[in-house]
Amino acid sequence: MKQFTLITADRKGLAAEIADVLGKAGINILELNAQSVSGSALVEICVDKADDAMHILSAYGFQIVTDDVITLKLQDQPGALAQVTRQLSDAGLSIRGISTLQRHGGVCYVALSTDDDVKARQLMKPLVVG
Amino acid sequence: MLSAVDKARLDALYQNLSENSQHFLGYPCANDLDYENLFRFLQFPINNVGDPFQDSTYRLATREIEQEVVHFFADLFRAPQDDYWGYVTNGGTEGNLYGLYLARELYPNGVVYFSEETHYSVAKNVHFLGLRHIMIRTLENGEIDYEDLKESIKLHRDVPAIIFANIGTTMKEAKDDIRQIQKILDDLVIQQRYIHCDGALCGPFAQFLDPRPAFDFVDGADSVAISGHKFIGSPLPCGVVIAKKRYVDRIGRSIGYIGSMDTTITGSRNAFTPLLLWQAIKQLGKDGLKARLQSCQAVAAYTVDAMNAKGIHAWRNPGALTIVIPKVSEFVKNKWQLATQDDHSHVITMPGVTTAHIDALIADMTKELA
Ligand SMILES: Cc1ncc(COP(=O)(O)O)c(C=O)c1O
Repeated sequence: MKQFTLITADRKGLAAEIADVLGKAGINILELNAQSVSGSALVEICVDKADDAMHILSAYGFQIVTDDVITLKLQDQPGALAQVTRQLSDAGLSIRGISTLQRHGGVCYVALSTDDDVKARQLMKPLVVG
Repeated sequence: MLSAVDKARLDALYQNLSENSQHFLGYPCANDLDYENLFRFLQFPINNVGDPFQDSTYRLATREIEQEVVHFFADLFRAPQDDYWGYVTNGGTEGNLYGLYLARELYPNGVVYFSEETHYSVAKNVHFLGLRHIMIRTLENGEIDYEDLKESIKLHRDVPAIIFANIGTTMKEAKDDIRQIQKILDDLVIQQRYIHCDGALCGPFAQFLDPRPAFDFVDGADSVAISGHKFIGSPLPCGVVIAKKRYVDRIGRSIGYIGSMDTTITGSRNAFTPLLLWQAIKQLGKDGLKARLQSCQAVAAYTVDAMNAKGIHAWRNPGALTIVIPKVSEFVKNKWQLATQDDHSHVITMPGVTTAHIDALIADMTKELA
């Protein structure tokens, strides 16, 4: 049993759509929490077969993130991602990569991976989602 | 001998592929050229193992043919006369991996910058090479956001910049302007830089576009990769990568300790795909590629007009063969094999796609709207 997060543009009937996709594949949803933030939806999903669920939802076209990366919420402005990586390198951390997950209404969700995610989470605390 | 059941299975597969190839509008694969005269080469266990420009005792090979293919594309991409090298890859992905590999050997602590609309295989390869990356925003048309790129590089002026530029993104066929990118690097005084151009789709014809995008060696590229099964229409996946030879030689020296100067990625290498590419470039030549582009553009223009006339909001980047349309239904998507992402789908007017195909697609789309 494992939890992961789905990030997408918010739309009507999203939770039902997710439930439908997973239901058809015989995956049981144990918990599903959706929150909407300025046009983006963050859906925390807990299922019985997490790896299968992630493959299916991602093939369906959803952006999936797990606890193995850090999800941040940033203002969508030029250099926003690089500001994070700069701050981390100044603190002696090494980034592996930073990618956009979803960009909508002036807000940007990004996935960050570093050589020390515990420390990075601490440093980025106010921006960390989930 | 195959059993009757197994034979029937192959026949059914053949039938299925024949039918599907008539409804193939969403992936950039041309299927108009005839390669049948090359089939006889399949009777030999040919293999271009190693560097195409070095002799080998494995003589069942097509190295010289491969060299000619490399020379053709090096010339097309205006590579420096005595300073280029390349080989026939297994596809655009391997060529892009090769470009990034060279960049990493030159600048192990570099950061790779690529845009949000970059093909997903690139993030995978960057991860595979252990390189660091920062993703850059895209403009509405799919092109890299130069302002975001500039701000991002500015914040990391202390590390080499490895630019992964798209010469035709997967969904919108947008082209990043490497002259503009170099201006940014110049303004920020970034000396340690590497520019790889992913010309998977547009590489073979970018030189003939008007206006011509900035993408080749004269424009400032350090390596360029293309796919051979897209615009050129090889029936097997393949590609070509061209890079500056001095960089490749440097890698050769640095990996000398493993007892091989071969810098290609795989061991055994396909010796049949160079034949396919060779035949295509011999048949077409530069003029043929140009004419091929023009006829595809005519179908692309027709598609946009015909769809707009039916109230379907279709658009394309200037000169592009990719037409972006609102997301289609599951039925249309599956029947016509249209790639779909977020709220849009795309149609690609590759060689072999006719206005009759487009009319039939539009008929299916409008039937649903009615
Ligand atoms: C822009 C771009 N780059 C790279 C690739 C990967 O190329 P290949 O499938 O030849 O490995 C593609 C494939 O669609 C692409 O569109």
